[in-house]
Amino acid sequence: MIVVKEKPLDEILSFLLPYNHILVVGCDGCTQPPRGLREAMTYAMLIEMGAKLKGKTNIKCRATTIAKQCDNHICSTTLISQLEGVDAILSLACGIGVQTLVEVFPEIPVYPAQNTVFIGSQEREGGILHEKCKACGECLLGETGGICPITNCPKGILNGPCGGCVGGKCEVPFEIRDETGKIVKTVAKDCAWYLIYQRLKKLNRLDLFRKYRPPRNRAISSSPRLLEVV
Amino acid sequence: MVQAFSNLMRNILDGRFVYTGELEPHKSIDLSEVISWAKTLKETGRVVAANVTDNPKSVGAISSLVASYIIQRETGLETIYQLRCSDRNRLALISDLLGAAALGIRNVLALTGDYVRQGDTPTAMPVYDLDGTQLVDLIHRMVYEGKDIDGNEIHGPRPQFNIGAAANPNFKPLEVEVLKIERKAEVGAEFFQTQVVFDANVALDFLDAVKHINAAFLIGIFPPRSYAQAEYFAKYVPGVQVPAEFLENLKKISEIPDKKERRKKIDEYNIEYFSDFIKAVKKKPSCKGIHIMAVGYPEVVGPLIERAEGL
Amino acid sequence: MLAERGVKILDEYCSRCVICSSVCPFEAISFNKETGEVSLDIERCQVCGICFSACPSSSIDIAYYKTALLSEYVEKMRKNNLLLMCRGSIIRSDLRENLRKSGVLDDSAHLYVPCVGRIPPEFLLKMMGTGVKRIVIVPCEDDKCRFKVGSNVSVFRLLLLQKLLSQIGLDHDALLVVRGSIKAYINRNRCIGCGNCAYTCPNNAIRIVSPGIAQLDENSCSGCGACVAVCPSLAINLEGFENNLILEAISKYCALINEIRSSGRKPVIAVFYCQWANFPAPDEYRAYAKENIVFFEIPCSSMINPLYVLQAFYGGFDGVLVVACRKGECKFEKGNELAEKHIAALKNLLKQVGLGDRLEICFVSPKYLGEVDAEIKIFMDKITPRI
Repeated sequence: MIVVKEKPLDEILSFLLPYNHILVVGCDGCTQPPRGLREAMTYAMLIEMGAKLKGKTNIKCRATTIAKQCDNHICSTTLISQLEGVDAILSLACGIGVQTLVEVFPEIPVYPAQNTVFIGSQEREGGILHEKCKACGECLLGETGGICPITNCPKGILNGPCGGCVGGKCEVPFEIRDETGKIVKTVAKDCAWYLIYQRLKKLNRLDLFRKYRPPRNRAISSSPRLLEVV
Repeated sequence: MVQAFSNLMRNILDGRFVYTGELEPHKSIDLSEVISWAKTLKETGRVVAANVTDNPKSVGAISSLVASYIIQRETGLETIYQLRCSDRNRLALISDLLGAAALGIRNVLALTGDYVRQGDTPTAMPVYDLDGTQLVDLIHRMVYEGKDIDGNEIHGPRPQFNIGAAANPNFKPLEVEVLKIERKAEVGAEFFQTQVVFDANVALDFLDAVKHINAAFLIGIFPPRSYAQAEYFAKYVPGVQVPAEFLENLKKISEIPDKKERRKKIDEYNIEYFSDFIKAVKKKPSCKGIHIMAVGYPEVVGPLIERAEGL
Repeated sequence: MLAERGVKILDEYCSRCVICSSVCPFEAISFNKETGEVSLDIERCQVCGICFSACPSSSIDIAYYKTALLSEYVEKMRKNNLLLMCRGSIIRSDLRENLRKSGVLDDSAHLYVPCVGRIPPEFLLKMMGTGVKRIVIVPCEDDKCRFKVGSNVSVFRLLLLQKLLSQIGLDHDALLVVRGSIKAYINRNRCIGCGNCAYTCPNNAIRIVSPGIAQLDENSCSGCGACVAVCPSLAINLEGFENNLILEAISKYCALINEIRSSGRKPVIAVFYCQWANFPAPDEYRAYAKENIVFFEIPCSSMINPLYVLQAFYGGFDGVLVVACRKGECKFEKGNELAEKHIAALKNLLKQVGLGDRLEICFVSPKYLGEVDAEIKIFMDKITPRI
């Protein structure tokens, strides 16, 4: 799923204060955490209350949701009848949703309520989300026993481990930061290539580990990117 | 077939046991201190080449390309140009390598490089367009095919380098390290300089494990200037084994009150301990030399080599 | 400070039969053979009242739902029938239809007690004596009883009573016992298959099936409502405690806030209380107001949906207090811990609109009298009315 993190309410309000009638649009798609109808209703109330605190009492928010905000047909057919009087949209989807809404309704300003942070999955116990895929376009999970070195290795090397692997741990720990970006805690991180070695050994495929991998073609992973649908 | 472009490689191929040193230039335009260390190494008559570090531990320093050239020119000591992938994309690497060849540098040590965030400039972008193994591949193609990694032809004469890479005898399990070394050798690594080893048994096990690989192995050693330095390795550098007896003895020496006497005793102990070490590892045919990382301590190198050679 | 206890053993009446000790699901009552002492360990007691209804010598005194109070309440209703339900139970739709058709449903006094197991058979006989023609008792399913054995003990007794009544010539339908437990249900048209409910359910009663919808196994559902609190789509609801019902109730009282305020500038607060942490009077049911405090009942504190809290603040409440069971005493094991996490996250969110300190959670037990009132007072003292 696409992992998102809510923007501070102050930032959202700074986008929305110039407007009077806001449609808050949730997405029933794949964000983690999910930002569906309930989230939209919550934001609608929060924005009105927050705006009031900043002296703007005539802001009105309405909540709704769309099955998928990344599909322009679904967006247009769902929302076309809900835009009467709306002078701004707050999208709770990932960056794709925001941009799709802009494409579909170019006359209405659309603002993001979330920061899209990475493609990842959820570790349910303890609730830590990890980046799992970089969409590099050259998937090598078949050679690494299913462990991605691009997202798990800070250097993203293809012929690891490097000299910074000590005792199976990476020279670079996880850094956990607070909202201001200051590091509050570091957690030791397993070396991705060490894990890959262990996995391939278990699968009896050390031939895949031993294999030399030539440099990546960076053109494949550099933006902007598009793919033709045949 | 390995060709000898450098003195280092020529000596190795001629069957001579080689000694290399390590030089670490600073974040400065002034190379005078490093040059004086290089002179000391040159004057031993036995140090065949010395490494010049490239932003070691991700602390920005003067370009290792420039330092390698100037040191070689000023002192006549052959340099081993250390080139890391942390800070340059492949175009920059190719460009620097062509420059190095034009300046007469004959040895390159290809490294992945310490992570950018660990040094004094954590805000820098980590590049890692290539990793150390891929850099070996690139250099090999330039030297032996006259092409870069994308197959573009190099105009005129091909660069002439002997290609080195790093290895770590301390890694557990050793199997992983052996597979890595095999990869690097497959794509063209001709000599390997290892991470610091204090315990001769670790070096001997390593040399046995790599004996099937067609490359020259130079075991890295670090004669400490003080007990504190040795203790630092034992406590804070995970994976490096420091024998208890070694630490004990250094500790006793560190308790000598007179500074001059203490320094003398440390030098003596280092020479005694590491010459025994060298004599032991020399016996392994895969061991072609010793890489002495006595950074800022070049005065111990000459006497150590003399003792190790039985002179 | 020693709070007064909600359950006491009256030593002078106790006959030492120790039936109470054997029925207590929490092993809170013990009998010392040497000293002849029957003692209650109040820390283990969960105030279910099963001991009370089992005691042949009326030597257990419970502060809540005293028989006299209950009889008074029923008699006041002046209905021909009595519908006696436990808080965890519900009248299933087919029974509901039957009762409606026969006219019983509309002509019933509704009585909700924490557990049907606390009601002694004598009370039922007394009710019949006052003219109640039919009594319908709805206990929870036997494995869903919040007090472990209450439903079983009660059903056993009631079946015996039923036999007795028919032997003395009373109509077979005079006493009807039908089990039914509150369950969650999923609106498949709203479910987005995110998996939050499946992960949260303490009984693993929910699975996410292809093509991406949650599926509930009713037999495993204990009706705690933890799933409701985490559904981003409002797709899952608890019977009788549907989101829209609760939100409507909140809105209804929001509309009255100005009226309440005009009687004096006290803060108006909303109290969401867990059914098992707070025992209100029989006529205080689901949502009720006491001056400037509006109470909303939820089956477990883990059901506290952020939307309820937002709605309350949006509608003008000055403060929201969540009343949960004490640590270690949740009837669904970990509901109160979940609630604590939800509230902490909500407080963080509300901080951004200056309301972080107006939301609190407290942990109480009815075993000590007055804990809820004490917590409300503490909360009220720190809340000032919003402008």
